[in-house]
Amino acid sequence: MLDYTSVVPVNSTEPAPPDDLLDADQAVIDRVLAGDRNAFGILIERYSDPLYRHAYGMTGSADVAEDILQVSFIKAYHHLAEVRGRFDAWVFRIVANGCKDWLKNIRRSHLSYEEDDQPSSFETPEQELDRGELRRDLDGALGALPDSLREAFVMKHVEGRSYEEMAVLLEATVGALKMRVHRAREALQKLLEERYS
Amino acid sequence: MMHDPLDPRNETRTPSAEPRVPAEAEATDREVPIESRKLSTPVHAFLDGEPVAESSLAGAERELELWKRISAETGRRRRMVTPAHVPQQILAKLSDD
Repeated sequence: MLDYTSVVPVNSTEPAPPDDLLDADQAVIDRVLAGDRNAFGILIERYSDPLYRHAYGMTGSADVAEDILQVSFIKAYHHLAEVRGRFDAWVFRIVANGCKDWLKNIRRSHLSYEEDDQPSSFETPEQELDRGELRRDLDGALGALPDSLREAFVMKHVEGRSYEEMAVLLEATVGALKMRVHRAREALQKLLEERYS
Repeated sequence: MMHDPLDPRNETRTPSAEPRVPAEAEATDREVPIESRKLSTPVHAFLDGEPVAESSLAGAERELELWKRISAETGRRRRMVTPAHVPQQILAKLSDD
């Protein structure tokens, strides 16, 4: 008997920032622009985790995700005066574009995804082996998806964002994003079902 | 000379202009046919976290077994955090400027 409760549902872990957090972001931005460079660390601390997960999900590489995050935050720092509206949405788009640029480049180079060396919390060698295979296969299957489908899938299933939040960040409609996620799932189903179902 | 897309000196996109192309149009341009296997509407609704009657998922046990495994892996990734040295490196690089 399948335990349905363990499959999903996906609950959003990245709710839209409340207004007071947006005001707090603006206050930090004002401090940085006034010369308090270290205050930028507050914004890094506040938003780096979801952005790192996005970059990792898109590239399949911890090292590349780190590089993209670094370059993106440095770029954000140098263009901070240009922020209009939500800082988190603005910096997300910098990271998302960094991921897409990297994917374009790696496809031209015919390189494959790298393996990450994230520590394991599985208990037995069999579980570890099984998990490692699924991880590799999932990375490979994600790598076979068009960028827009992978991006939508990663934001929904890895980052746990709601469709409404995704719509704000990607400037797309909820309906279009649902369609992308559904297409991504059906492609992954095809790619992975023979081995894992 | 090699073009390094991660080198900000080579950056052609500016944050103020991002995204230059509406995301909707960009995604449409890139859509290509991919092999897939249809999942039922209740399965998608369930995976979207919507309330679904268990009876409507009857017959989808095989698909849900796969998604149970995928969810375990995506759940692990959802708990990932930025390596501790990364924020420090970013701030150190800003100090070097």
